[in-house]
Amino acid sequence: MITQIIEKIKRKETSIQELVKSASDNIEKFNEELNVFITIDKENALKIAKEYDDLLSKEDAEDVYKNKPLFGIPISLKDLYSTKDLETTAGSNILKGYVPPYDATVVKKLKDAGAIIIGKLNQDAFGHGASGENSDFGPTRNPYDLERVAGGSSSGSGVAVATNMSFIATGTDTGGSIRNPASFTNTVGFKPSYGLVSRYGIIAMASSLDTVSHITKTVKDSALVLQQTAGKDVYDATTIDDEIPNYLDTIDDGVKNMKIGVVKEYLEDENIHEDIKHRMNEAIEIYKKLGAEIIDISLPNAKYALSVYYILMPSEVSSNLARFDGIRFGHKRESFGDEAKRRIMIGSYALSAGFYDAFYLKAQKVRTLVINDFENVFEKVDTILAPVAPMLPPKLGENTDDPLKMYLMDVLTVPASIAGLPAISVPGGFSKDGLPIGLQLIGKRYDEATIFKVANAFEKETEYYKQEPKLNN
Amino acid sequence: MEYEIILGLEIHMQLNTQSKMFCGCKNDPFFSEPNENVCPVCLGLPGAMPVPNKDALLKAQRFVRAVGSKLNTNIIYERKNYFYPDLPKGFQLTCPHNPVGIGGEIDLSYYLDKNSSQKDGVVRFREIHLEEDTAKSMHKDGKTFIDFNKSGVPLLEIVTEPDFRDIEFAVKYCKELQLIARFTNVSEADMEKGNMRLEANISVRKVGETELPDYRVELKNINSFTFMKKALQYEVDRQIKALRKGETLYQETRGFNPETGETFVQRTKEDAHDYRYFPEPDIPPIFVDEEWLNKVMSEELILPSDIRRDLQEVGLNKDYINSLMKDKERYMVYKELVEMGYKPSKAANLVVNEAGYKDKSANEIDSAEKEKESSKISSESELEKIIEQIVSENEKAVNDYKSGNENSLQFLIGQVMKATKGKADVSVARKILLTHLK
Amino acid sequence: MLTIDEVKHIAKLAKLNLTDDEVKMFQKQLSSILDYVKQLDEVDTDNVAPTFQVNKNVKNVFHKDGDEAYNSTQKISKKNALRNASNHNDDYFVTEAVL
Repeated sequence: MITQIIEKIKRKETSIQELVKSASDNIEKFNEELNVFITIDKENALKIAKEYDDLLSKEDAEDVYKNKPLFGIPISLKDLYSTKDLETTAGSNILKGYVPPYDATVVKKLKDAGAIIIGKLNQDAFGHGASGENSDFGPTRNPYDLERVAGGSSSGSGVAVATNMSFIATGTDTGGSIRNPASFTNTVGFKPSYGLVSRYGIIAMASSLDTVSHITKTVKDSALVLQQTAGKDVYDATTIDDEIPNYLDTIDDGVKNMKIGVVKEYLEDENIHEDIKHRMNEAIEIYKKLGAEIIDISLPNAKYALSVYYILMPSEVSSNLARFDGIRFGHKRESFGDEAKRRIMIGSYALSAGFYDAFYLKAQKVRTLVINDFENVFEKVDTILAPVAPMLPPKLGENTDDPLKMYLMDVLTVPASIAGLPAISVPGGFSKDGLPIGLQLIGKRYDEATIFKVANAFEKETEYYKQEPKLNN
Repeated sequence: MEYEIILGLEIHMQLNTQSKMFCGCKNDPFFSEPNENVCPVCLGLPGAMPVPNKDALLKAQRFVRAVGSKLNTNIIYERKNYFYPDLPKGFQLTCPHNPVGIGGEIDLSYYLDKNSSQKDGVVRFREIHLEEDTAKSMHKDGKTFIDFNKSGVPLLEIVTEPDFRDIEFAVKYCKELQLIARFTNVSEADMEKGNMRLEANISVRKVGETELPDYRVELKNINSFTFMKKALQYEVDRQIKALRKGETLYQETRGFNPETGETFVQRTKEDAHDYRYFPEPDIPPIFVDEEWLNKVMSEELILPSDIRRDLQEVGLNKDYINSLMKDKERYMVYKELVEMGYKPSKAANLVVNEAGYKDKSANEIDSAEKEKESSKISSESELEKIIEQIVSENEKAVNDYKSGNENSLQFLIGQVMKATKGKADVSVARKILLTHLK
Repeated sequence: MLTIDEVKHIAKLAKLNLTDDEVKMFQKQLSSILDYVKQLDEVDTDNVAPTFQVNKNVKNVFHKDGDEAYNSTQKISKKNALRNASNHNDDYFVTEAVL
């Protein structure tokens, strides 16, 4: 889609100002009802759009796009992304009014690639959540059913793309926070391998798990974005030094003779909604038709992944949120929401003297077992196909009284997270009642190219992304 | 004395690198204007991430070698979590379990005084860490003012076993470590500038006992040798007094009030922090492989003990040696002068005693000396005239000398030097004067 | 089930001022979460090494001392450093006196 838009710009069939204005109009029409944005930077976006159009009138468009592949594309950023001189709240009252004095590395990269930032997206505060209901600024609504959640924690990201408020919406995925909202909003949610994309400037949730992710309409768009964001950053010591392949080179190669693993238990698990199992079975048939071989696999320790995650993540959260003391920035610690306080306390407990071995250390050991499970499986298969969420988008308020119930939403996404593997959620169809269902492809570490290829094959065959939500003007 | 001191020391030294430990900010906490050298990392802003400074690590390793501790090959940074306004992230990055240097010992028998309680001159190290310093806070009018220039400065922490039995010896240990830090270009180690401070762990036990006491008192933030002596002595006396009364002593942290000269409780064992250490996910492990280790081990080190020995061997006395070794720059000037051909005693004299040469380089001193030599008035005829005048103007001194006062000769020579602006050749002037005084 | 004292102790460790109602609520919620994760007790990890970092090949990452370019991109001005502080003067961050 982005590629097509860029072609239109090059042929002068549309202008960048028109793009930004169209995005801006959609925001105007639907943001109030859907609560997608925390901060909208319309004036500045239009100003830059005009500058960019002026530039295109003077210079050769081909040259411009060679240097800036996302030139003029409206983009919105999850509010965990530090944006220089633009308010950044992380979805929390404690950072209301906080204006970072610096840009995150990825923000710089996207700006350098020509993308135009149109606003900062709503989210579960600090990334704590799977529905958007932990935002201190009200939950984001699902455009496919306004009574339901839009997923989380990157709740604004899925909706922004689904309703054409943005071509690209960035987010983070620590335990499923980009795949979950993508699954609930019929968009493509991409989570890179840990260490592929710089986290410098992204407000940290769990430092050994956070990945810098994004949502787009199509798989090719997703690859285009990763091409700009991936790569070593001298300010993030955990980024890898490897050469970044051209993800688009192999993206249309198809899945003939590829081996796709499916965890049989997921197709039989009574805790997974019937409609989701149907979509999985359909996807299996489609992949078979396209020439892939479906292989039964087992991840015996994956059932412990949720416990591992809910020990490790809060432990790191409790430490990462210690800097919020109200002295150099932000408000007093009382301004933290309930979920943040819960996680800080679980984490402090799990790390505390006498409990470190039983909780934190134990979890890191079980983590090794999960990583080994994946390594064993990837000797037999090229990628793993699985559902993203065990249930359809819940109604607003359905899970808010029981934190543990909310945590169970992550059960299918956390295994790839704790193993640091790449994963992509692609529109997999709809439930009987028309609610989006996403399916994910999980890949070997640093094998993003394969999951793009496999996801793209499915998308080309099904084109579910074309079924946009019906919104009243 | 029925009780003896069981004392261990933790010295903190700021390294003299150009940048801070985990970011590129300028490492200049003492001279810069407040909050000038800051960035998201050392300010602890959301989203910031640490990247270790290689040079800081190399200096730390050089120091580990220099003091006789052993280099550790797997260094892992962990988070030490606690809350304090001068700790922006709410945790300090340090390597408590996998430090830069482990064990080893330093032999300071040179400083042993046979009358003191310190019988063994060997001090054992427990470990040497490289961590980050906190910000600087100043308290005034019920408020705290914080300057983050110091936040993130590389800080070496040198921990000994409780091997000290005498406070004076402990002070000498600290001063020797200062010298080593300066001579190996690792730290300025100047307590007044804040780039060195210490903490002491002190308890007492009855002489003859061999078990370590089951308590120790931690004295924090000692930033001068005067305070160190006062605080430690006060604490030792306090503890002995308490034990004699039959009191039990407990683990606690105390501060020192320089105005009252007393220590006071800051934290009891119950209030002790639970640091909840865990490995820092943002800093990949540091593995010192064979190549790296060899490079560090093969670096040439000039240690104060080596220099001291060399200076003793050329016959310089203790005072000269101490003066020369106070300041590394001065020592280097001395060394250069000796290499140029000056006798060690002469070179030492020029460097230590000549006020006019205080900030000069060896070349500058050499030129000045050569000029002095060449501009010396040794011509007898020239001096003859001046001396005639001096003799006629100083009748009293001349008469005093004639009556037997040797000092008057010195006075007259002084007058000649004054008149010639120091250029007269002393031996020639003396000779001529004597002929006039007959 | 965590005791009220345990919850209060954790809150103190985490520098969170909780109301009595909050303490009661968190007591229930934290206990149920901790019960769930105790599931890990049934996993045999006797000879298993912990994974603190998934990227085992990444080691020895440093920045160069005194690198001007590295610093100039990263540093911020005093004014920008102070501007988000709730209490500051022209030169310092200011807070209530801490002992």
